[in-house]
Amino acid sequence: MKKIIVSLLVITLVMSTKSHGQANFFIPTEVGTSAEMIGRGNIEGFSNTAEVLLENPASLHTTKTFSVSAFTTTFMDEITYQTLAAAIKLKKGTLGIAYSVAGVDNINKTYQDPNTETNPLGIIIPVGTFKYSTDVTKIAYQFSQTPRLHWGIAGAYYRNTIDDVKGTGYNLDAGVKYDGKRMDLSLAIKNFLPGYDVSYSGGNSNGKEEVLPAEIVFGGRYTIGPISLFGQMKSGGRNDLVTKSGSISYKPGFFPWIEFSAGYKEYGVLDTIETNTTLGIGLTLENIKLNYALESSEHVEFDKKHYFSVGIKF
Amino acid sequence: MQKMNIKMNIKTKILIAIILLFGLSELSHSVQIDEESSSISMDQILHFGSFPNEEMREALGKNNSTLRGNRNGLTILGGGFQKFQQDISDFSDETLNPDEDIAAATTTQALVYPNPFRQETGAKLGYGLSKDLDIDIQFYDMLAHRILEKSFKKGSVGGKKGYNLIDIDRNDFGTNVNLSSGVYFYLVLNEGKVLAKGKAAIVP
Repeated sequence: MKKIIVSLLVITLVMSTKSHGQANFFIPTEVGTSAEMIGRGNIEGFSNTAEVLLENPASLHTTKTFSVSAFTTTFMDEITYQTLAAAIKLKKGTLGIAYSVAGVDNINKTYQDPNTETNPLGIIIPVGTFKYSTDVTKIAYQFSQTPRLHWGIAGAYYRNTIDDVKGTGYNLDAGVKYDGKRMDLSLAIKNFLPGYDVSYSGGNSNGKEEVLPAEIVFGGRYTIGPISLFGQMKSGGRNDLVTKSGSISYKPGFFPWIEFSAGYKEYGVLDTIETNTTLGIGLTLENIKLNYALESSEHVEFDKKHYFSVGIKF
Repeated sequence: MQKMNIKMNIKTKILIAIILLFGLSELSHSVQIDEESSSISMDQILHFGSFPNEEMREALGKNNSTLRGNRNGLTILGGGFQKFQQDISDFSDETLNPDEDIAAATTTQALVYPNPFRQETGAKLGYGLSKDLDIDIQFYDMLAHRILEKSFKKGSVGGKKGYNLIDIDRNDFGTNVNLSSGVYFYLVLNEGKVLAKGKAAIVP
């Protein structure tokens, strides 16, 4: 087990070095996969509904019979993120599927008359609109080696559409999860197949490629009664940085179906690391779990980001 | 010799009187002082004398000595101009700069060309302004993270009255930074107030 984890870490760190001059592909799940995980500082692999397969396919082991989940948020009144996921327990292991999409409409297509006599000021005019959409579909299979040790693998298919430019690519994720008595560990490596990138066609982007960034995410949860402490380290990804996160969640004994969480996270913006704090609240009613998360934003018009998710588990 | 001097003096006095009368008549037509509001419009001031508008505006705005010189000259023309002198003294910068009465706004959509564009070739952002303004341009990525901020001084390209065309170069986002394809959101701001916004798409 130890050897496998060390090998995976080394492989992913080597793979996470992107090709010079090539951009990394933006994956819509970068925003998060549920309000629950965002509320605790985007710490991955510890949710128990279907969308967790987007974080670590091994974490699907918590599915008892069947699970579905949905997540949505809108940023700046412009870009909408949506995630849908479902998982079913099989005789051996768990099978899951998840779809995550981000889209923007009404982007102005423009024209600038190059003739300086008819357009001396160089005025740019709108001549139509186009759409942007990016999505990822993942199909995952999880199996348990022992009651405490779980493995998972997921195939990912990526699509990107910007006006008449279209890109597709696929890759693989793998993960392992260890459930201890008090301590749980989660390790996932995403897009670990090197050279399997997003290829483009259409417009002036024929034959262009974007790298599907390899990423390794290692996290832990330590539970003491009603309090859980989380920590995570992430390496690689779109910005090719090492970031850390930490959080605490609390389930009051007198009201156990409610959970409060607060998180601290580092994240990459271009080539720098920024930090933020998050807050979350979850309500579990029988088989339904509702979550809300909040974090601040540096945008001058929208200084808060709101996230909602619902999960159903049987 | 003395007699001739007296004669000359009388001629001179007559000439001065004619000039004064003519001058008073001309000025009373050109400078129509509103007795009720006790104010003089900028147009009236600009028609006074032979200054073209921009020159006069510049002279009034940048060099108070010109204004003082004119004012002193008017004082000697009689008590009727004392009010005019007072009005000029009361001019605030607002009165002197008519742009102050114009709201800070964009006069055209803020658009990027080409759109979509490739980072390596760059793009142009164009927008019209109602007057000279200090302008900040901010770009946000799809996670609402600010990835670029550019500032333009009032009156310079990017912050001047009329149409502004600024370059968005690949290195504006940082040397060796390759942006992911997707949509980026930009704001045109003046003193923190959003004047215009738009979306630019980057293709690989």
